[in-house]
Amino acid sequence: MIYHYISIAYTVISLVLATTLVVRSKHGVLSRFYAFCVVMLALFGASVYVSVHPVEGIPHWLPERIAQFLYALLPFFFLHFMLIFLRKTILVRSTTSIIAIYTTGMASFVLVLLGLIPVPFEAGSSIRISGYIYYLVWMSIYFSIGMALSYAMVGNFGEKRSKPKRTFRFLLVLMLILPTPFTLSLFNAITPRGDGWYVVAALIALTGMVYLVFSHRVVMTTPYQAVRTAVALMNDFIIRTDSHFRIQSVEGAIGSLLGYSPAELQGRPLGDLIKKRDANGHYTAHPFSETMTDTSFDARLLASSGLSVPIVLSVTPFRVAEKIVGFIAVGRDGRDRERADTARFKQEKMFRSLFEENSTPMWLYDREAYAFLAVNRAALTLYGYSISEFLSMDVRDLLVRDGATTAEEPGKADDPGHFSETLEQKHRKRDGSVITISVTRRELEFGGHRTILEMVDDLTEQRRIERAWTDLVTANEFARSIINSSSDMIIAVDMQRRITEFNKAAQRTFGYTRDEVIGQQVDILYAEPERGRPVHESVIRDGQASIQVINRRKSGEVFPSILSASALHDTTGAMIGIMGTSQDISYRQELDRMKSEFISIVSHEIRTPLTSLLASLEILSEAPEDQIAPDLRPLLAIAAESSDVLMRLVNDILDMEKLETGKMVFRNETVHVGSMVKGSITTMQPLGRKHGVSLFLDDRTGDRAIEVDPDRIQQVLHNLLSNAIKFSPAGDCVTVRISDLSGSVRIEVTDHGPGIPEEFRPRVFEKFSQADGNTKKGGTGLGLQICKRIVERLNGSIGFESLPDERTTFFVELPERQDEYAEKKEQANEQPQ
Amino acid sequence: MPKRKSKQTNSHNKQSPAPGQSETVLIVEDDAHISYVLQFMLGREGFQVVTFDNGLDAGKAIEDVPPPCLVLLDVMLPHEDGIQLLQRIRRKETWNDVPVVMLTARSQEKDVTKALEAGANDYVLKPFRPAELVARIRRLIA
Repeated sequence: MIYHYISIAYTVISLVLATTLVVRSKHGVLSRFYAFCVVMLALFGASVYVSVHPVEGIPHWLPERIAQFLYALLPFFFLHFMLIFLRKTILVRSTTSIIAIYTTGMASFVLVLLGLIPVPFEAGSSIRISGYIYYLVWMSIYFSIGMALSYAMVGNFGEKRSKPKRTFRFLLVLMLILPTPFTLSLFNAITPRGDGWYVVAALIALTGMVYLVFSHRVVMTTPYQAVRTAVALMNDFIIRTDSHFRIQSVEGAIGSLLGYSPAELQGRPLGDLIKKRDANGHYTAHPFSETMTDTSFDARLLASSGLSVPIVLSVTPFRVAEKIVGFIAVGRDGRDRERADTARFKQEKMFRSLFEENSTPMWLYDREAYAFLAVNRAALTLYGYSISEFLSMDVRDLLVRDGATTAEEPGKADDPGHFSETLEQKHRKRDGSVITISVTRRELEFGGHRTILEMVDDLTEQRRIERAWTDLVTANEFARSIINSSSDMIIAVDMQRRITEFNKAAQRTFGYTRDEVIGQQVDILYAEPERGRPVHESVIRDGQASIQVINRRKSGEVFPSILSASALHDTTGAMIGIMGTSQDISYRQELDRMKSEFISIVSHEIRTPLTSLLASLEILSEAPEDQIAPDLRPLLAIAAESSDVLMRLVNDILDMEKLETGKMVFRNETVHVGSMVKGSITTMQPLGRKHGVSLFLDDRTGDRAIEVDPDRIQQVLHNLLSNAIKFSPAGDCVTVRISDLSGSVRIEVTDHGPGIPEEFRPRVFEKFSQADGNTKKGGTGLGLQICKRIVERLNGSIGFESLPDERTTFFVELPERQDEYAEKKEQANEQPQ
Repeated sequence: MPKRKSKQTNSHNKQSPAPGQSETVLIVEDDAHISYVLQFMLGREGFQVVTFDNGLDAGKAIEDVPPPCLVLLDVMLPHEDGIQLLQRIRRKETWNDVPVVMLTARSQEKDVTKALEAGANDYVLKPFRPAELVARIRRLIA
């Protein structure tokens, strides 16, 4: 029965080993899982044992099922190890691994239950060799990887991963054939009751385990060993010297760090290893003294190759009964630290040059003492001091103490926290000149001091522009008086859109005084500032702009204005602002409105009495012969004709007004040109007869249809016809010709009168223009202007051709009806295809 | 007290009694001179003429008196304008088929549309030619 106890011992040892690994590897996931696996393995062994050797009171199927289940989970363990290992390297997501593991585990169990995976044991001591081999393969993989990983973790506290030694791997395999129920069964199968073999194998395995434990320093036996092991695992070394610093023993990574073997250093003075202070004094050889206490310092140790290696050396006296008998020096690889120092140094250097080379003048001073700690080159250049002169002053010495700036002593803000502020100050340069600067200051912790970093913005450049303004605007009183005498508003702004000039007219119009607006944002003058901004942009872009804007007076009242703005330049050609002239057009708009209203009221008021006048005169003129004396009749005719002219004038003025303001209503409909012209001619016949002029129609189109307001076209035709009749010599004829142009219809009215004088031609269609300068022909001087406007409203054109004393032709071209035109065009387009 | 001027204007020498001697024309016109010219013209043509110079009185007349054979309405009137009077006429059963001629100012072309929509039979733009107006009236009451 001894192998039963050995089997239990194996399990216990496995558990101890697992626990040790867990402790050593700082409770990592891997070690915990390894422990869990060992526990499972032990449980597996126990259940197999019980299933092979039935125990009274336990149903035989129960351990068998447990054993089968755990056996089936072997691939699961393996897989989990694999995945954990992989997670370390290629980051398998844990959910993926868990799903894979449980799926595989359950599948494996099902396969075992179905008999597809051989089970190495059977109730009643028999064993299947195929099942055993299967088990062996799984176990060897499982153990190899598990132990390899554990070793990798425990055996190395750094990031390096070392491989287990070959002997270690061999021992692992050996462990697999340690006394277990299976090895027992196997031995039982090949050697009938060969307990002796079993004991031999078990002893070999135990020896291997002990060797494993000690040779890999996993289990600490003594504190000394523990320190040694710890040192060995780290990149540190320990040198033990006697009281005269002569090396007695060396432990640890001295070989990998310095290239020495511990033996060759024995007996040499420790000081020989230290690289002496170099020319720059950067590395010091520590004067080892026999009275020294605990010391730690950076040193450069000479390696066997002759190069020096940065090492952090800690030296501690080693006492026996209060007497120093030797020293222990622990050396640590200082290369990382040196690298970090170098990086920090570089960074510092970068910031230093950022400070030093910055074009913004800046300095750093002590918050309490006001003494300068550092000052950059730009500040030296600006103020004209040398660095030593600068550093010998304190920050208050720069200030010009006039009434305005004394209150702004730097650093007076006593808030304990960090602060940042910007203020304007006057500073005196070395040569005594005063500059205006804007200081941005910020509190900084610097080497444990509370310091203030001040960055200086020299406003002199800005002052220069301001001075240019002064030169441009104020210094020249002549220009000033011109600006002020302008009836237009003149407003200038600088590049920040602050008002720099505001003339008298602007003051009157806006109600602001000059002092109120100078320096203000120009937006205060706009009712809708967002409409004013584009002015600025387009002036910058194009050099000038003209726009109608809505302004706001000081009283809040808004008014429209027309603004013309252009860029202002200084003598070097650089843009310094914008000059705008502006006119309040509210009175103009009001005037326009009043004019319209006036015309409409007056015309209406004139027309009412004219209505009764005309009607009365007409009735009178038709009175029987005997009721009016014949010599009075011409007077009646004059009255009738004059009131007729008056009526036409009023009508024309009203029409003109409506056309100009766009109030004229056009009722377009389809009109046949021929019929319409015929109608016009018929209406004009009486006038023709009166002047002894006959009218002819020459229609060459076949009554084409156009889309117009017939009343308006009649008005145009009446105008043209009455002009033609009036200017025709008696007995002559006026011809109206309608012809077809592509897409439009042309109506020509030709007379053979004196024609239009050369010099009058350009003004024919102007208002109140009459070639003969009076109204003896009974015209108002508005007729052709009205015609032109009506025709243009109908998208047509009007013009004339005149040969003096031969003929004069006025023509109107009107577009054809849209659909007809479109149809024709379509047909034209289709033809080529 | 409504200013109601009702005149028999056949006193002028013209003695050509028109076919509808007893026919009455109602004129609503605020300008006294135009009103007089219209009265004169129509009276000479043999019409009985009743005139009103404001919309209020004309409105009352529409409610109270029997319908005339024709109404001449100015558009712009004190109190109640011509369009409103026209609508009143068209609402009143006894009056609603009376022909109405609107007198409109030339500048108020919108009024023409409004008047025709409200049921006017014809319109005459001021200044009107007396002969033309008479011809239109004759056509409407024929």
